[in-house]
Amino acid sequence: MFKTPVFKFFSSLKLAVISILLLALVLTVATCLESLYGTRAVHVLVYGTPWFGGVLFMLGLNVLCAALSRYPWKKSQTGFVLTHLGIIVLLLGAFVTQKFGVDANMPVTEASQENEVTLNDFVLVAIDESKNIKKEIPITESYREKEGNILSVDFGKEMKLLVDKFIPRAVAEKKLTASPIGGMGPPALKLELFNSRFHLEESILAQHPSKPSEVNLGPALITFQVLNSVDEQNKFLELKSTKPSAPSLGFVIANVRGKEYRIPISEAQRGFTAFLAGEYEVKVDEYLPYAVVENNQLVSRSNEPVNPAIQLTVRKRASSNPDLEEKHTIFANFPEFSTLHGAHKKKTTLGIKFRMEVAKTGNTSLALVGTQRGQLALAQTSDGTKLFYRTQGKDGLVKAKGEIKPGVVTPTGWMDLQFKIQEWLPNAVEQTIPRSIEYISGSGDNYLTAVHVVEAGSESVNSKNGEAPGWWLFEGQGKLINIAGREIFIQFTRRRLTLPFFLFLERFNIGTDPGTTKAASYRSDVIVKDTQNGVEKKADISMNEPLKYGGYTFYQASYSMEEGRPPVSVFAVNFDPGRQIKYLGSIIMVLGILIMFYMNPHYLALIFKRKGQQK
Amino acid sequence: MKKLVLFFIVLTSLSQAAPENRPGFDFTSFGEIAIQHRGRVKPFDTFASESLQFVTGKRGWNDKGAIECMVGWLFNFDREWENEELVKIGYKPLKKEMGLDEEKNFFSYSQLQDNEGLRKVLKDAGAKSRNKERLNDLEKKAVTVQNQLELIGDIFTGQALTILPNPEGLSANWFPITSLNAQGGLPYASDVTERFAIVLKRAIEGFVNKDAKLWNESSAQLVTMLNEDLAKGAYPEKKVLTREINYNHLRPFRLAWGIYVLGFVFLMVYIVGRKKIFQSLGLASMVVGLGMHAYGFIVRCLIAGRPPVTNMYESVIWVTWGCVFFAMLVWLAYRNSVIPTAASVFAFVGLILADNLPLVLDPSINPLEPVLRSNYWLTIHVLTITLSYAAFALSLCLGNVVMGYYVFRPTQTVQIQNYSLYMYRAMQIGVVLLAAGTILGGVWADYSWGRFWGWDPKEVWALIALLLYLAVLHGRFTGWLKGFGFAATTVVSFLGVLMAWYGVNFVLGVGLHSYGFGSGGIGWVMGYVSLQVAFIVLGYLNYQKAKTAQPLDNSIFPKG
Repeated sequence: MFKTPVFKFFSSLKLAVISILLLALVLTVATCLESLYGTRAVHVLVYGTPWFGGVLFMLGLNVLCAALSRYPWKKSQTGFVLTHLGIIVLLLGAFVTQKFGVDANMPVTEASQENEVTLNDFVLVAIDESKNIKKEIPITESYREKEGNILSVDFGKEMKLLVDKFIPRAVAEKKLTASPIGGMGPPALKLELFNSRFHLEESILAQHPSKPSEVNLGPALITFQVLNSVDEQNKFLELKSTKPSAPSLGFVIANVRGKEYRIPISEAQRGFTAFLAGEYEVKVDEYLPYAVVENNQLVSRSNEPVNPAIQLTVRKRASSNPDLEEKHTIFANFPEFSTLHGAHKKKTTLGIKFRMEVAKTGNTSLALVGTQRGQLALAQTSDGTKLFYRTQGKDGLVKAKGEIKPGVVTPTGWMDLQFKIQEWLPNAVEQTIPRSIEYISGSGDNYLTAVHVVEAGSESVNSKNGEAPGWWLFEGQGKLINIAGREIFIQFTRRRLTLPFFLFLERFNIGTDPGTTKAASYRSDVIVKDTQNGVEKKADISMNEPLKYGGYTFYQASYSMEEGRPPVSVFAVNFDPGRQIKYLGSIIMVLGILIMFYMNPHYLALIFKRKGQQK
Repeated sequence: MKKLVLFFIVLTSLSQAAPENRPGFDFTSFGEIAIQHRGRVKPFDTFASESLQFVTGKRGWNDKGAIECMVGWLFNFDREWENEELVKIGYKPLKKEMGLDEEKNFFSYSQLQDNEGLRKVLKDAGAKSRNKERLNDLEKKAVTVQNQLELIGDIFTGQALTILPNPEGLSANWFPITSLNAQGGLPYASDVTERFAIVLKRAIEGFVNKDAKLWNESSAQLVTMLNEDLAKGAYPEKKVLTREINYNHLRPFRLAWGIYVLGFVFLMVYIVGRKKIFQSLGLASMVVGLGMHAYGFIVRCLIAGRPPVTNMYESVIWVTWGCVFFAMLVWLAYRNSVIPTAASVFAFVGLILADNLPLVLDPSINPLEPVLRSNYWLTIHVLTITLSYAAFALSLCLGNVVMGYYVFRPTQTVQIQNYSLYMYRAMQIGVVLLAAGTILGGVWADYSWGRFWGWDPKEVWALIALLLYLAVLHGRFTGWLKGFGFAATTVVSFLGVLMAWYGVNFVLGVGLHSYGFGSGGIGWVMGYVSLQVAFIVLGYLNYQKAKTAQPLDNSIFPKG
């Protein structure tokens, strides 16, 4: 057998050199790809692929054959044989881990328990309660946007679901479409506003039946409302002027010695604004519509006013002493969270308490800083047959008004501005649609993933208004869909695994370096609750100090802290049946190299001989 | 030995001459004040030189030592420092963006404040870091300038001077001297606070009025008061503070490279002239240098309370030490002076770079990232891997000696074969250490991240480097690599080490080993790589020329 040409080929040293260099080359390319497209991508493209497994298998086979070809082994070949044996055992262990191991994540919220872990791979879950069908089908991940027949789910004879789009990195965007059921849903408009210098587009949905919705669009405040009666219609059209309106983000309320002072946020955004008879002044440094803590920094996740916060600087006026200047962060939803930056450092405080009151109108996201603006008011009759407009200049005087039809360019009467209704949907639904984005180099892998699910056979029909049928699902999202009278629940998620016991998170702690806010340590105090075996024990999991229980190991991997929510500790959960094999292989290999290089009798003889010659 | 050290101390202290405009002033006791800065309690002396270096890139400023500068900034009594041109900005595109004179390298604090151009770049940088995007060079430099300005501002106002100890201990938050202005809030008895403020005021008076006696007295009194009255014993031991101050002033790594240069010169004289005395002198210098190098390393361990191998600066220190250490080991086996000579080049070049590029290789001692703390395996794994780099560096040096022979004396096959053998020995040490270190890295990863191997770029590049050397070792047996090829591929394989060591952190910038990430120095590395490649090509050409002239023995090792 050792003499066959196939065996000779696989045991040849030249093949060894070539496959070593090939592996080195593949790995070099892989790390470059990782730098460009991120860690997930390179696992999808290289490390997790069968062909990469094939390369490693080839190498293992090569090593095995090379060792066997020298059989029967001489004593001097001990090192050589051990080294090669070690590599084979190591690769074997890696294979066992890959095949039977579990590598998962487990986020646990403080003061709650969890027994499910999340794996890396995506699945589509589809459940039909009435027919008692539950399916969970894996979705092959792709490193870039993919279209076509990615996955099909058979649901009995008459029905089939298809996954036809996969977006690995998506941002959620709101989109308005005509309501599928006539007469249902609020009216919506898509309009553009332009002059010779700029061009803006925006959609607006009249959500409230009686109050106008507002959108700040560049130099104009756009409002949209439903006119429920002839009376309201007349009022809308007969208005002559209003007080000039400033876009309002709300107020900062300063409490000094029990007295409250209201300062408009948009005013304080422009610069220091005095209050308390000019004794103090305040400036809004940053307005964060959707404040979240990321990397110990407060940032805004989007322009949606979900968790509005402001960062401000307050100082005593006409004081050159920079110590009498403070920075505060204020959350509209969590007045008790108001902080004083560097409070641990500075002991001097002005003794002012702040809170924030957010303007309650519409979408404040595009608020133009400070300036007063013109207004474009739009209104629809309640039966959805007529659309009216009215424009007001900065001075509040009505410049133009009347009925309007989509597609007609109409001047507003100020700043040479013109507008056009691009689309008018008397009844609309708001949908969240993913938009694919490029990987930003060095940005980590925390992207949102989305898939598009469609009923087979319907993907080509029914696309009247450019809208393909089907449903977009973001990671973790589930939807109840209705096809041919059947109610089916579909969910796009990562594969989950249920452990035979619970982990209860008592408390999550972060320690910082003295005198800084830099995180120095993370610790989770947990309780293992294993009812099957009647075990309930306390444990601490911290960086480098994992918890081992029931064959699983729990590591402190990361955490998430958002204002107003209890902290979430994320554990890496690991089950590795190949661990011992890998350790064994490692020991054998290192021992082999040591014997080969240093305990080789020839080599020792060489050294002594040389020494003798020199002397 | 002692005299030699003394000589070097005198040599280095010459550059920090006594302050001329403040005769009789003693700044040593002020330097012994402990300050809590960047997560660590350290002597004011360290804070002063780190801060001055960060702002100006220099260790002293116009005859003034770092401490005097800091005290001057702190009290900013006559506002002279505001207009002093001391902020170093070297990056021309940034100067252009900021509308500054591109030929100048130093600018004043007042000149840089409220710079529109800087603000614009910083705004972009802020938006980028919020999106977790990587910053470009311009933005990185702008952030540095911003940090420089913030530091100056914080020192001007006293905000950065967190020297008021917390009686709860060194790891509790200390207080800046500005808190003395506040009514209450400090955990000291009010009479203690008051007395301290008075002494501090006297020290300031002494400094401002150039009254040496008053300054010397009150600054010494400050130290005692901080320790005894304010901290109530929760203060670092004097021994610990002076150890760090001595380390700052001795600068053992600078001494070490000086001694290595000396050793290199002695050994070269010996190699050229064959005078035995120079060999002894050279070898002695190498041993002394190695000792000084090790001493600095140990003191740094004691100061940091951990093995210093967690950033680029520290790994350069450790790898250069390892290279000389292995050179001496191989020298013991073969007694050839060229071995330490070659290694000394790597050692002093590495140490000179570490000594002079503080922005790329940051010498300050900072607390570790959480994942690196209190970890036994980390220490072993990193020390082993970096030690393998040292062995490969030695094989690189010796490989270049072989290349040198191919370039200049391609016919001297006996020498070529001897040096190839030494190079091979160094490579063997490296392969064992790298294989073991990579596996130990797996053990560590298994222990702290929960997986033995995760294809992280740093892991992968360590593997690639190992594979390159393995290809060379196996290539030798296939007969594809003969004398020249063996040496050339060994030298080239070091590029894999360079990538694993420097490139992953400074070029690729991805993966879990991100705590060592940095930037800069690419020019230096690319310069080296191109020189190295040119040298090999030249060697190849000269070797081919010599081979056509007369047949040469191209076996790798000497016979026998």
